[in-house]
Amino acid sequence: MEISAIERSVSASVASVVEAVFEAGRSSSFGGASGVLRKLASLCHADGCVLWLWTEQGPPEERQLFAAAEWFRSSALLSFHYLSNDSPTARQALAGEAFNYKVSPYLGREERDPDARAAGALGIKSYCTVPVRWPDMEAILPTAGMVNFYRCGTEPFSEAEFELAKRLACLVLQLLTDASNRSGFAALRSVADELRQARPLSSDQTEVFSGWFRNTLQNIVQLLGKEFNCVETSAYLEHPDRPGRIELVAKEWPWANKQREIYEPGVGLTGYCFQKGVPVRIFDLRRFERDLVSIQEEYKGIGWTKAFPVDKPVEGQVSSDGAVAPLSFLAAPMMDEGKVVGVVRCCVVRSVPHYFTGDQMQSLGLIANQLGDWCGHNFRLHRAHEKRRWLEGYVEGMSRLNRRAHDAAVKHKRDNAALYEQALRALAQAVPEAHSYCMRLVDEDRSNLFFTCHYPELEQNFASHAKKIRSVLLPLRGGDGTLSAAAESFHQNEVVLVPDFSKSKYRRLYFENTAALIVAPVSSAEQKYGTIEVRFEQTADISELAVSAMRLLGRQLGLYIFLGDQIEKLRESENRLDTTMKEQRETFENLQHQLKTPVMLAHMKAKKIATAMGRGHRMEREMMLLKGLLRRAEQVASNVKLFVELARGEAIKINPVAATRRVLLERLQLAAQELNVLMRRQVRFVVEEDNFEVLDAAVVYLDLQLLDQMVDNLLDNAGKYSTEPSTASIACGLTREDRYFFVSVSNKGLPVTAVKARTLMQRGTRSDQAVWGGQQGSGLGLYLVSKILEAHKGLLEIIPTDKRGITDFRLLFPVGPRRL
Amino acid sequence: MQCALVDDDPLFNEEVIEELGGRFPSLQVEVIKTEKEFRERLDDPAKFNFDFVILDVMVHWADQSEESLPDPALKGGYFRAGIRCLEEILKRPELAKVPVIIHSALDEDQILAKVREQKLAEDHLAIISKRSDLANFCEAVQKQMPTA
Repeated sequence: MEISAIERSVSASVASVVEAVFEAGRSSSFGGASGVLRKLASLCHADGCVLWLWTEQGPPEERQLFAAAEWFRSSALLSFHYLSNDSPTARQALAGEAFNYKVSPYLGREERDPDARAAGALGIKSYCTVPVRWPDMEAILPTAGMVNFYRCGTEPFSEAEFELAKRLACLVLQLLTDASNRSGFAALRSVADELRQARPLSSDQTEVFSGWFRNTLQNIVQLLGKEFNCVETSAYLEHPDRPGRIELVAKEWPWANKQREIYEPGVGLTGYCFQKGVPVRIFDLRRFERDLVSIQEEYKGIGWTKAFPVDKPVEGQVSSDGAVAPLSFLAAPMMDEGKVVGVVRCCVVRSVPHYFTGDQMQSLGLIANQLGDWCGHNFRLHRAHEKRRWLEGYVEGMSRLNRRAHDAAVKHKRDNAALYEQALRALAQAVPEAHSYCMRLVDEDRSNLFFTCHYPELEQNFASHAKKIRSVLLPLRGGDGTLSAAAESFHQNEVVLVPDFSKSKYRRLYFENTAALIVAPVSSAEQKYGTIEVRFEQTADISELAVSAMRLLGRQLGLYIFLGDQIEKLRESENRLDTTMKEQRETFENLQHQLKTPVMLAHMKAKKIATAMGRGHRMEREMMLLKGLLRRAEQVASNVKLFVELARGEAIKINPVAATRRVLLERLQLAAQELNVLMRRQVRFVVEEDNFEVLDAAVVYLDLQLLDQMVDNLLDNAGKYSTEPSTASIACGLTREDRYFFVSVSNKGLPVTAVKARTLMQRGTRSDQAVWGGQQGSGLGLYLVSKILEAHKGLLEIIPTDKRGITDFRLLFPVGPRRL
Repeated sequence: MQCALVDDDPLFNEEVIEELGGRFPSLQVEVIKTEKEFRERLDDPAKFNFDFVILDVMVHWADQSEESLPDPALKGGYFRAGIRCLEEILKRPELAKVPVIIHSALDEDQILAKVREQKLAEDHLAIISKRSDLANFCEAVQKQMPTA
């Protein structure tokens, strides 16, 4: 069947409309709608063509048709004009029927009817109206609106023209939607290209909302402004380091008044979009309160903070009849891995249809997701860089701390103040967001923590406070049972977190501006030393990293203190050992010298005696000297033997026999006599023979050879340290309620106090005077005497120097049962 | 000729003086019993006009009757007194060439080690142990005695 001319004409018309739609898609979304309508009008020989659409929000009974797109030959504008619901077009829209008004029903009604007035202003004489429907919403809405074709001339539309209008009108929404979609895809593609070219966040960029990141977002915002043909476009993001604040990062804002730069989740339309993670589309913000019920049906709990200057429309937003364009709003959440990271929003469509369509909402949603991915990626990079920077700073701080501890150990110079300060500096690198850092140590009786170090140094005007703080002790047990955070950390040996002081059980005593606090114990496996603390001026979202770092630093510092103490003890032991070794060397050197001297002299004397044989008194004297020298050599040798046995831990072996008066007296007199011969100083030794008869009754067992050794040691000391001239007395008696028998040597010489008496029996003890000014001596004499007496179950008693200057040295032996 | 005998052992001094007196009749021997006395004599050139010096190594600082202790800077106690005395002699340019004989009960290499520890000049120094015969000692003295 041959296609009729009308059909061919319709086909050609459809083709040209499609071409116009493609052209609309290439230029911009709905912005090309006037081109499409112009095409329709020309095909139907109309003077104007308007796409009337129902408003999308508001109670159904209050919805109105408004001029979404238009074209007039006279270039007049019907933009933003709302038709009343009893207008002919509205009635046809509600009925869903097309109608050809050969005579405009508005004629003659201009004075009382604003629609008629608008129509009159445009010179409309006749028009036909055709319903249009959204392709996928026919079941839900009978019509989306109407396409009206207007004529200003006297000739109304013919039936054929009316038919053509009906055919062409039904294409409008579909084609414009396609164009819109293509435009949306174009925007998506442009944003993708922009993001692909953007540089990633660099490692030296510490502020994420700066540099390339911010520039890229700004470019995208401008791009969106063009693609969505809107006056205001903004991007808000939640800063990764400042959660709970949605900050303005990029904008196109034409108004003079300041734009709101920070939203909180849930506050305003932008905050709502962020909090709920859903796109928000408001047809006309000026009708927000009027349409609130239906808006809140769609967006539960939404509210508007009126951040937009609704009374200041942008140029070109006012129609010829004074109507203002809808303040249309569109916002979409930026998602990253299921979490909202920001919001991108558009407001006030620049030209017809002056509102954002559902497709545009979907497009913006896709673009927002793209942005969300990109921002999320950069935030992760930022966190990774921050972590790396943190780690580098932390490692650097800990390295310095380790170096300081190492240097102190190697250089034998312990500087705790410097170590603690370096520890606090390392802490400052580990928790940089804190305001101040301090350290407390436990005092000696372990009942208080005292303030020992603060970083940074407290300010001058805080100095008196600081002095007070340094002197104040933080009790480890509160009087009323409460503990400070530091005390609790100390006792529990665990980190204590106080993210908000105002909500905690702890009191702030001295740092009033502290809002949050972390305390960690300073301890080793063996011992608790104190605490380290970081303070924040804002309530803090305390990170796990900060807690871990503090825990580790507290342990490390505790370990260094413990090691430092151990090294000190080792050094002291080493020094003591060195001293002991030195004393030992000197003792042996001395003993060697003491032994050699009398032996060498004895050798000389023996030679002299051999050459002086027969020379009478001189020989006798030389023989006595020789005997004395040999006795001295024997005494020194015995001392050496005993010293070595004691050094080996061997017990002194004694061979006790009952002491009689006669034997004892003879031995003591011989000792005195021989020493008198040797003595070159003006000191005489005398045996006081009184009291020796006590041995007739008392039974005393002692080793006679060891007695000789003890007496020789005492006499040797008396000979060295007595003043000249003087007499040293040897006596005996009973003491301590007759439980002990004593042999004593008393002399006038270097004073001996009660305190000194106690130390003289220790090995190697000699007074300073004795060390420098006395005769030869190894400091062993009294020590060996006390050891020999111990073996006898006796003791050495030193009676301190009395007012006469006499010191009494007594050898005490236990008395056995009395002789009958 | 005059010589200083710095030694606090009276028995040994008796032997030494007797031996030196027998061997060198014109020699006058003056005994200095303590390090303190030696230093005081050294500081007064009029009182230190000896032609040579005999030093023991272990000499006490002062006599027992004195309440006297040395400068805390002096280290080593009486174990190094003779070495310190040698050091004091060598510090004085006018005395650097005075012959010194160290006569001690310590072994000669022990004494030499102490001298070298202090990096002291050995040009005019002789070391002889008290273990050696007094005749050997007198020969060492003779070698050190400055020629008239």
